[in-house]
Amino acid sequence: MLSPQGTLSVLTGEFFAAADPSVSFDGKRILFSAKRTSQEPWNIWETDPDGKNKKQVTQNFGDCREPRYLATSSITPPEFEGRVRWITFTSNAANTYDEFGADLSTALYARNLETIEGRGFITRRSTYNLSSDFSPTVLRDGRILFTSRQKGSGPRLAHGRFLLLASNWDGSGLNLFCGDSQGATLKTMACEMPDRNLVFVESEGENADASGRLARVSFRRPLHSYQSLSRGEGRYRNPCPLPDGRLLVAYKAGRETYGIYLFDFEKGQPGQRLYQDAKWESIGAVPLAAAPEPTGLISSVIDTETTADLQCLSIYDSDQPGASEIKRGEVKRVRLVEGVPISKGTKEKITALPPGVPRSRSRILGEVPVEDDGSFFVKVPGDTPFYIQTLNAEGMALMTMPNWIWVRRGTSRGCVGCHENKELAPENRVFLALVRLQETALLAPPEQRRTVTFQKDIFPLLEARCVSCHGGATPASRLDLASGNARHIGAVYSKLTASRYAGAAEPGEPYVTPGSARKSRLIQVLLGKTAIPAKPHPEVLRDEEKKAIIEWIDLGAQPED
Amino acid sequence: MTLKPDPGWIFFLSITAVVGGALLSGFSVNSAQPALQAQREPAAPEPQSTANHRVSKYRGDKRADYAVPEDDQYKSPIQLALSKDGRRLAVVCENTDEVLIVDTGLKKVVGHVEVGDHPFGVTLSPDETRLYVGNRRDNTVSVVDFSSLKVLQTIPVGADPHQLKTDASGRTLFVANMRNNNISVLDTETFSEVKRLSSGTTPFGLALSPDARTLYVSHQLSSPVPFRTPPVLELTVIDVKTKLVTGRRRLFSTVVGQDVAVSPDGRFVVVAVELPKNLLPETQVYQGWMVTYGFAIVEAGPRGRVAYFLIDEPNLYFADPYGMAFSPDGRVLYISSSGVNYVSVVNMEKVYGLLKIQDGKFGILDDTIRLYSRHLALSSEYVEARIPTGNNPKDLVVSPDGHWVYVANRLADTIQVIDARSNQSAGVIDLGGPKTDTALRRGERLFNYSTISFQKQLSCNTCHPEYHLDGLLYDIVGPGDGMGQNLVDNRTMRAIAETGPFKWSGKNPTLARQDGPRAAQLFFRSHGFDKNQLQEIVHFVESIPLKRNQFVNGDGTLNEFQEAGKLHYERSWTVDGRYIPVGNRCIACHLPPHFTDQKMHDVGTKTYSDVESVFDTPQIANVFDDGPYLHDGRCYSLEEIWTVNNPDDLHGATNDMDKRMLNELIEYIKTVSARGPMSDEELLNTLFPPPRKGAAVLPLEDLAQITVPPARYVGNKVCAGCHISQFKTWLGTKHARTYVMLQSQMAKTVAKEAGIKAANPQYSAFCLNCHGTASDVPVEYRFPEFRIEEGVSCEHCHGPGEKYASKEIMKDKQKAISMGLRLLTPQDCLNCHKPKPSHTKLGRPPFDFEAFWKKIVHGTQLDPRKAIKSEEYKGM
Repeated sequence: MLSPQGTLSVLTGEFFAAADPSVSFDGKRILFSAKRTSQEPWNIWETDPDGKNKKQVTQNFGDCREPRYLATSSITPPEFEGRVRWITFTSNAANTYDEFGADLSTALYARNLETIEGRGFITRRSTYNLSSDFSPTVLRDGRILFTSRQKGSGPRLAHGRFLLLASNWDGSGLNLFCGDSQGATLKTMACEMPDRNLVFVESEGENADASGRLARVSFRRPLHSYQSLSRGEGRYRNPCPLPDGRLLVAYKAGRETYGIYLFDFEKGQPGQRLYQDAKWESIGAVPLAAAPEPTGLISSVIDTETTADLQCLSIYDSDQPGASEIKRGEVKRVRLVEGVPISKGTKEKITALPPGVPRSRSRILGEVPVEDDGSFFVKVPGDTPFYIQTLNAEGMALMTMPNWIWVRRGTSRGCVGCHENKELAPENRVFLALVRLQETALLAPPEQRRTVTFQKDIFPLLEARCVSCHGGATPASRLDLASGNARHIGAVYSKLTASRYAGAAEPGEPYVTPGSARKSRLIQVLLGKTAIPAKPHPEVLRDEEKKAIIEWIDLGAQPED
Repeated sequence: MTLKPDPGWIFFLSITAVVGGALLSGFSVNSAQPALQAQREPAAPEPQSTANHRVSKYRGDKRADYAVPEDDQYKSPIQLALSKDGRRLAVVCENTDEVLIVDTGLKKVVGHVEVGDHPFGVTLSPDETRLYVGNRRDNTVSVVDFSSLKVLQTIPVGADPHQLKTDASGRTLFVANMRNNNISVLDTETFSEVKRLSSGTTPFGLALSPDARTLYVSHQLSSPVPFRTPPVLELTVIDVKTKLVTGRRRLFSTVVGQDVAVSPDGRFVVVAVELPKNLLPETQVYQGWMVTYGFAIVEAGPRGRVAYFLIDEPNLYFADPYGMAFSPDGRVLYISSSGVNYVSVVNMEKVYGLLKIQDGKFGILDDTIRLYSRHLALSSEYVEARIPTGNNPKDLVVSPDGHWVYVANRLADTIQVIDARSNQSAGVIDLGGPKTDTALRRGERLFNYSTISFQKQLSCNTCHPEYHLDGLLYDIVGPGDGMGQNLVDNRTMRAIAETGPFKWSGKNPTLARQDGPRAAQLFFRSHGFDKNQLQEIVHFVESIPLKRNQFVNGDGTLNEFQEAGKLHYERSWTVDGRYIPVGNRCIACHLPPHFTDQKMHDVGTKTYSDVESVFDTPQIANVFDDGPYLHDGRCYSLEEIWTVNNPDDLHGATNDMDKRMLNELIEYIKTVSARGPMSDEELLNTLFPPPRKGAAVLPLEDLAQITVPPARYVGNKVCAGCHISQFKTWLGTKHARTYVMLQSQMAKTVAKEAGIKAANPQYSAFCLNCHGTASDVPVEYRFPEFRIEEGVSCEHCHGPGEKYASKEIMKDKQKAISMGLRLLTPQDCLNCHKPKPSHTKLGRPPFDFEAFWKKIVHGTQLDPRKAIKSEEYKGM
């Protein structure tokens, strides 16, 4: 703690390491994460500003970091009379791998600091992403905003992509706040300024500590108001507003240690230096001051429920690339695909996966009919990450949602569209799926959810139905699924996914375009959709076999399961 | 409602003495006070005064904070009018029934005039000699001399006059009669009404075009629209010269229209509106899911198009826009958001740019207009400033030089002064009034302030404008109430204190429960009100009065049509001579004081989206004002309740009525307003008129065997004579309507499938074994007053009363029992409440004594559990 007179006192001398301070709204308590020895995991602690009255908040819950005070809020059921103080923090307690990162994934959790009558202390998981959610901040409107690593498409796929998402503190009402279309890829350490801007640190991930440049977006238009703040080469961390609107940052220009500065908005560089220590990195400064308490939000999550409702007003309301090419009425169904994280300690050969292949598995929750107006209505398992694909009449994906969503237990989630322009409010009209009141329930228990894997479903199919022609001395269309080392699954997989006629003068498109059966030549041939099919392929496979191949490709055509 | 000098006034008096002489011809607030008080006191006759004024159950409460102060009323400034020199601002104070004159240079109140009850609209005559003020509860317009501040004349107009405007000459005055759905046209020289023009539903604001040829009328509520379609506000266009309606524009998917303004170049008309999302399931607030706010902009001219712009932002809402005014040069439009205490400054050039205006017309496609109407972030293009105001900013006016904007801070009793050149607040002008907040006042603020909801999206007032309703149906989503299920029509906040349970489902026994956790979870999605706030808001809601019923004659009497309707309301016989069971008469369920029995009934209105078939009986005091009707709002008029939605006579017997009779009934229902409760005697006399000579006897069919009872059946009236509370309880139960329910299509289907031979299950002695009483006894064993049709009536369970019913015998319980009084055991219920395969399709829950007994419990002495050992009824 640095006093106004410049004297420094250490509040957490008894710890091996301490970090992530967060001051309560009345300015009287401080949350932080700490570990007492190098071996033990990080836990959340709370202390008085003078270092007294320390209280351990979490225990035996993985590495708990980045605690933040939430507004006093209520949970349901049964009644809400006793509002209590909650905190949010990150933890890797789920013990599952990050889809794209090297470590365990972190998720956001919420825990009450005061006991709830009849229920004591509850630690609830808020986010159900497959990759890490981290760097939470509490917005004045009561939501939590955090950086979320998500699957993506295109060149960024290999490391996933990073979005700033906001949700209720219980993880319901998840929505994009600011994406990666403007500014740098990785945006973290966001904080809401009194002038209703969101200041954050952005980088391309070049620094291991996620430090980078300062930038901001306005709450008035977070998706279209990106503005770079800092100029020059130095590295910034942990921006934090003072009550008067000035901004604290940790900064270092080169090889020296981080110091604490007031940021000079006009010059775009650090202004007055408040503190620096030649030996220690000084980061994560927060003012010890009272701040207005955010709006408390009610949590409608019902822990004893297992299901949740999802309703979409119109899947045609979409801002995704290619959405405008989809004609009204073209979408007949949607497919919900569950993401299953891989737990640490299982024998999966996850490290052997090539880059860009997520470390997770897919299961099909099922398909839901879409009404003519684009609406659908489905009951899903709660707290389960999934994405949605819109399907045409042939059951092939037209669009694939590029990130994981979930619906918290016992809640109802409404979507205006499918990745619609988040600046548009919904239309006020009656939607057919709700008029008909026909909710599709996709509630098969996990073990009965459909999986399609190359090894189990596709490779045997090729062996049984295709090798007779596409093998031997003169394989049809020069596609040899049996020659040489063809018994090796990997080789067959490569033949389907690599360019056709590889090595020839004019290599063609691959047979399989992962993620889009519709664009895959293999499917076009099998459905008789190419201009000159060598053979009437439509009869070669039965419908359910074609469906399996379509699903395998739509789900990413992964080499292993 | 009188004013007493208050210490707070002394401050103003000294000022008045100095400046008042010059400005106001010697007018002095000081001397005016006692005089006015004296004048007003004799004018006491106020019919239905309890219904028309705030009566709180806390009045007189010892806790000082909850006592409604009699002598220090808040001003509640609401509407403004500014003189052409920008110097004198007339401020209508609706709560103190006065108009204050503010000197804008001195920033002081310099004058005051008492007008009628709850004044609202105000306008100056073009020559500024007169001030016209509409009085909402008196249904009058006060004509005030603007220099002497004396009321020259009081002109009766339609019900609930809102804004008013004169033509360019000042000879004609237009008044929006909100609850008559029309516009009064007054001659200001003869002080007489010349004609009335039909407007849309609930006309609110008036605006004159700059050339003074055209008058535009905005409306608060939607014109009738088909069920489950978006609301539509009308913008009525009136030709000032001919005094004719020349156009009716439709503002699509908008509601709660407030102020209307015309751009200084006359090219566009704007209306402050709410863009509701009532047709969506209410699953969230985020992304404008519940409601958005903005303004409609309409091309002037005969077939102008309409576009919509939001003043909200993606993460913040500017709830309940109210007042609107253009700057004199038309460059900006000021909009007050009464729910968040801000004035938004809209740059109209940016708006015109988005509309690609060419020759006064929009140059964009309809698709783009639709996009704009949904766009939450466009406001960052055209809202150039947000200026904080005092509490609950309502009307606003701009000074003629465009330098100042004055805003009525209704719940702060101040005028906000905004420097329009810097878009900064330039302080407030205090209007006087109490400086301490009562719980009532705090409750009213809570009702109006949208800070209670996530991202400030909605206040109570958003859906209950005028402390009433917005006329929309909603799909509320919560535990046990899924999306698309249980659509409900909004209900009024007026005079509901004693009408619990609340909600159409009757789930909330108290207002505290309704406004507390439920509202937080289902509407606001925030922490909701804390305990103190909840107490305050309940206190406020309970204080909201009913308005004066405009259909009753001034002396409280009814005209001949209404009188005839009253007979239909209470009748016991159909035109074709069928007996109407008590449980199917209007008066039985909709009875005084609030015209509800506060019970749940199945009146055949369940549709496929409803989970339950029973609904809370709405209070129908002032029901003419509460449309649309039925629990899901499917009827836009009262007529439709019976002409379309009562095919089986389950919602009262009405299908025998001819058009004239139904009209009479409706004319009477419109007069129904809060009154004192019926005495027991009045109730019994109403429900049990003398038996009709030669009255039709129910024609019984398939009577298997006649049972001779030990005594004769005497009828409910005899029992009710002493056991009135038990009788009233019974009347609210399904037992009183078991015969009535045999009229339903479902009953006919069940009867047919069960092989009932009777032409109608109501004639089937087999069905009536359970659905009626004493259907199987010889005719002479039923007193003339006794009716099988009363369903499971007293004697069904307690046995024929002839021998035990007299007071002398009933005094001695054992004796009564020996004379035939049956006290029941749960086993007796099983005589009828046994599993019946024919009834399974009704989907009723299996008989559970504990649960079912709760529904009919009528007096603990009769608790059948006391008749047997407790273990014997367990599990029944």
